[in-house]
Amino acid sequence: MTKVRYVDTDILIIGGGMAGSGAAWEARYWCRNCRIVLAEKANINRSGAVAMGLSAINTYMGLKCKENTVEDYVKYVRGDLMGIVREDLVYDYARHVDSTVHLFDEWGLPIWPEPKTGCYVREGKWQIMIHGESYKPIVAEAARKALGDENIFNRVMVTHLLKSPGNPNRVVGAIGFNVNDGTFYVFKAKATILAAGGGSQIYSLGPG
Amino acid sequence: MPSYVIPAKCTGCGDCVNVCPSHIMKFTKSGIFGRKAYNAEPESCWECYNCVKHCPQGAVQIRGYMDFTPLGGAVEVYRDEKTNRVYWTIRYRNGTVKYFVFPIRTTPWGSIKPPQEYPEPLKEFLRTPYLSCEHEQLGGNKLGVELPRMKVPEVVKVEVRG
Repeated sequence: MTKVRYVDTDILIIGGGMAGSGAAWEARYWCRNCRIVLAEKANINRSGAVAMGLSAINTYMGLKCKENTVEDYVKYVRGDLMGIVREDLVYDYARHVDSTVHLFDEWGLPIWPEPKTGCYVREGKWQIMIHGESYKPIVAEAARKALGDENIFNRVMVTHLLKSPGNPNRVVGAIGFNVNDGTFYVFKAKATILAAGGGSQIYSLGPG
Repeated sequence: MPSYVIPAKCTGCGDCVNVCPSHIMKFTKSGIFGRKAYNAEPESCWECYNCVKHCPQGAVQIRGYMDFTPLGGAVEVYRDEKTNRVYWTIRYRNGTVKYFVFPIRTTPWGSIKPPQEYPEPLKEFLRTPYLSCEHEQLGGNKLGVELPRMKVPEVVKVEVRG
């Protein structure tokens, strides 16, 4: 017999990679009394595309040191992708990326600062250099502290989103199963954040 | 290059099975030496080195595939969360050994201040484009939108330094 577990929650985050961990942090910051649940197909400490670490952060504006402007970045992306780009989305992540990197720095990610100015050492116009072996465990620690370990469901592979019967455009939860013991999970959520990347085939298209 | 567990060193603690993002580190059936971990599907291995880094016994190595890598080379990693360093050992087939050391973190593990310990933001802040702590992290108004006026608390803690 397959066991079925029902999880009622306010906010459901699907995917525990960098985006899902960041969403967990952000959701807890704005909503202190919500129940927030994160479902991840592997272990959140080492999962997603940053599981093995990274040696650079590829987008950092440097607004603090006035190195680049957000408009410059949008212009660069538009040229790089030959104009096929949602400029509003690019602008939006570009203007928020700096504060996220500063949070990583505060949490302990080794980023190289220049001794004189305190700005970060660059290896390209947009990249900064890091010692990113533990990039994901550091971000995962923030997410685990934000949610509490009991609200993080490791090894749960979400396969389908649940839609409201009255309104097919509204997602009210998700279903999945534990890849170790086959327990079936039904998540019911008031809001769902899909941060599952492109590999899991929940998005109809790839990431982006 | 997929991972390989040296059975004589493995104690069967399961750290690599727990951490593997690809879910391919498995246990053998318990024999007289207890259970051992092994890489069940080397061809689906991401080569992310997480099993190597998380093995407390140093029992996991990265070794090349037999069909295209010269046999005899191996990579070992020791990751120390107390001194916050990661030590890489690259063993070549001809006996050359190279060592690398890198820092992994500048603060102690478990030291992150969780978001619920920050002062609770006003609901009006949700209408601004600022994310959590963004106004402070950017060093003021960098997104072209002023924060709504906060009520100044009557008692202000003054931190004295030096």
